[in-house]
Amino acid sequence: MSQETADIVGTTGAAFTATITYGEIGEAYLEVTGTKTPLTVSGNKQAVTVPNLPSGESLIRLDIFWKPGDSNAIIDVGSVTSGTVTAANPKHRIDVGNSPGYIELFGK
Amino acid sequence: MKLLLRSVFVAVLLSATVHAQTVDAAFCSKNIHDEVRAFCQDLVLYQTHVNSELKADGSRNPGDWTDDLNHLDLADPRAAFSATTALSASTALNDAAVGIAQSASQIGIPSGIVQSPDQQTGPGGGTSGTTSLISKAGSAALLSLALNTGALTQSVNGATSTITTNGDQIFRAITRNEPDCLVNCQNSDWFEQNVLGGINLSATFSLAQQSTTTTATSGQASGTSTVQVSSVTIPTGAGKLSGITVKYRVLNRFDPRSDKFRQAWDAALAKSTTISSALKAVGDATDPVTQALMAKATPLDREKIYSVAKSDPSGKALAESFSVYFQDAVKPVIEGGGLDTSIATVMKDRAVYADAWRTVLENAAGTLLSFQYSYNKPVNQPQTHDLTLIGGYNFKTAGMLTFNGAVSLYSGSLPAGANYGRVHFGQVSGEYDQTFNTSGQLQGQLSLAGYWQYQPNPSILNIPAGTVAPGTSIPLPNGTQEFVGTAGSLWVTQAKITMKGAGGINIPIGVSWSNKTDLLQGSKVGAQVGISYNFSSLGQLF
Repeated sequence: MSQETADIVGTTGAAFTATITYGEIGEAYLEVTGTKTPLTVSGNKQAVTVPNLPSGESLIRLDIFWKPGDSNAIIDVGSVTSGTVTAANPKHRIDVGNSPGYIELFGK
Repeated sequence: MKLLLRSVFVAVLLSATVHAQTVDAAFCSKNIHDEVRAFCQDLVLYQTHVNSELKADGSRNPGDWTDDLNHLDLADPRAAFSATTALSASTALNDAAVGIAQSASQIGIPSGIVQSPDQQTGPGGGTSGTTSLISKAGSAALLSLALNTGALTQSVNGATSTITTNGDQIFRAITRNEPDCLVNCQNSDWFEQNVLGGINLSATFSLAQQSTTTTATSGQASGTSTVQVSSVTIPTGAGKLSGITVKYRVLNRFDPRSDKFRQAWDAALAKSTTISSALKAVGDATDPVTQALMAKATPLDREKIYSVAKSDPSGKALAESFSVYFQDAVKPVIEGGGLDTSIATVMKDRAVYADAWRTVLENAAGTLLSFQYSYNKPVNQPQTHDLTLIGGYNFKTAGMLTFNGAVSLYSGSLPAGANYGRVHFGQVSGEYDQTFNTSGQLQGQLSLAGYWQYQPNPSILNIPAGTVAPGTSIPLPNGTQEFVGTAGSLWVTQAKITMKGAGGINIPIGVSWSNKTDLLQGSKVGAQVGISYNFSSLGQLF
């Protein structure tokens, strides 16, 4: 994992929402070196709020309900409350059917 | 649904590769290596993207395919889902899976209750040894075993064991063809989609009958009888096959993008109290596998695999190279130990989730009709072919109604001089089911059923050859058939409570009243009891 392969890159401590275009998020967790913190799910169950982007590499684990007709979900950044956060370009994906889906974060 | 999902998958590929030639997925979907099949979607996407770089003049316009490689890099968390699927198929891990599966009940199977009220794991009403007056549309997802005792239309109060399976699920489990796919099934063909997917198969064994075989004797052991006994009948088993049933279920057509289906899906999802915990269990079980892969798996040589993909646009070289990489990359992870147990837990939890997911889909789409064929071998009665049409309507919170219409025909050629025709009986029946206590660890279901059968002739009893005529010492040389009971209407009503416990255990207890039974006149009050277990969580045994 590195900044080059991350789905979302931002300044350490940034607050933002990460979004997916398909699937419905049941539960979400921020995972940093063995610790797991629940995240708030919002936005029609397709967004999670990251209140404080950790420094370096971290993961968002998404438990996703996929339904018939869904496609690969595109990962993007929704609202940014503080700091600077951008999604990879081109935007990365979570393969349809995969649960848990992981979003790789990098705080710099 | 699978046809639709395959179309969606193709559409995704096309949309992702505007200028690219879509690669034929056969290079990976039919590959002999488990890891290539598990990563097929990502391999196809990557090869398609690499091919799209090639311009008409032969030069390349390199793109950024970082994310494709993220999904193929075993040291990357985004490859963990497919890596788990691939690793679960390896022999060494399967051995561990058996151990895990055998103790599944002790390690916390998510509470797999909230089954659809139209699921049936035992035989229908026309069997000696049943708790169900009518046939239901639903069945086991992968495998179920039911033990039942009691009689409803039959005079003989028997005991049966019934094993039930779904054609598509058992096919996938045995052939390892995407055994845990749900919305991402890519490699299913027409036969799987349209035939196996809707078929449920069950075999019922009468536990009260012994299987026998005839064998030659080798001489008199004692006694002074001058009559030589040349052959004898010996028991060969405690149970005997008493019926085979094939059921084909037709789901309502649905458009997954329609508002109507989405609303139905959301409602079915919200009603299921199982699926959320099952999904979380999958995530919790996957985390250790992901961490182990990230810590120990060899990272993908991205330059090397790019060169391979460039060298062969068909994808075959990519598949071969990826397979070699996968085998090398997972070695340090497997050698680290503990992975086998973690993967077995993931696959068990995925199977439980898949079962809950299919139930949600069936509740959202609704069953249109089911057709059932049963071959029955009742004790000392002619064999029959029973054809049943099953319809149902789910009123959601207000319960579910199921209707049957059936005709039973005698099997084979009728004996010379038979005083009866081909038709055994015709019947119509219905059942109302309502679930209660859906939030606890134990769910209940109340069922009220009514059944009407009309048969043009009394029932037939086979008198085997050698039977001594009553009051005489004269054996009947060729056997015979006798009418028993009465022709006309047979009415049965039943009230039943089914307790559905965690992990797929069902215990039905019923009481019934009938105006007569198939062989005896006069009303009868009977009781039925059974137990069944749904083995969907043990799918990875295969």
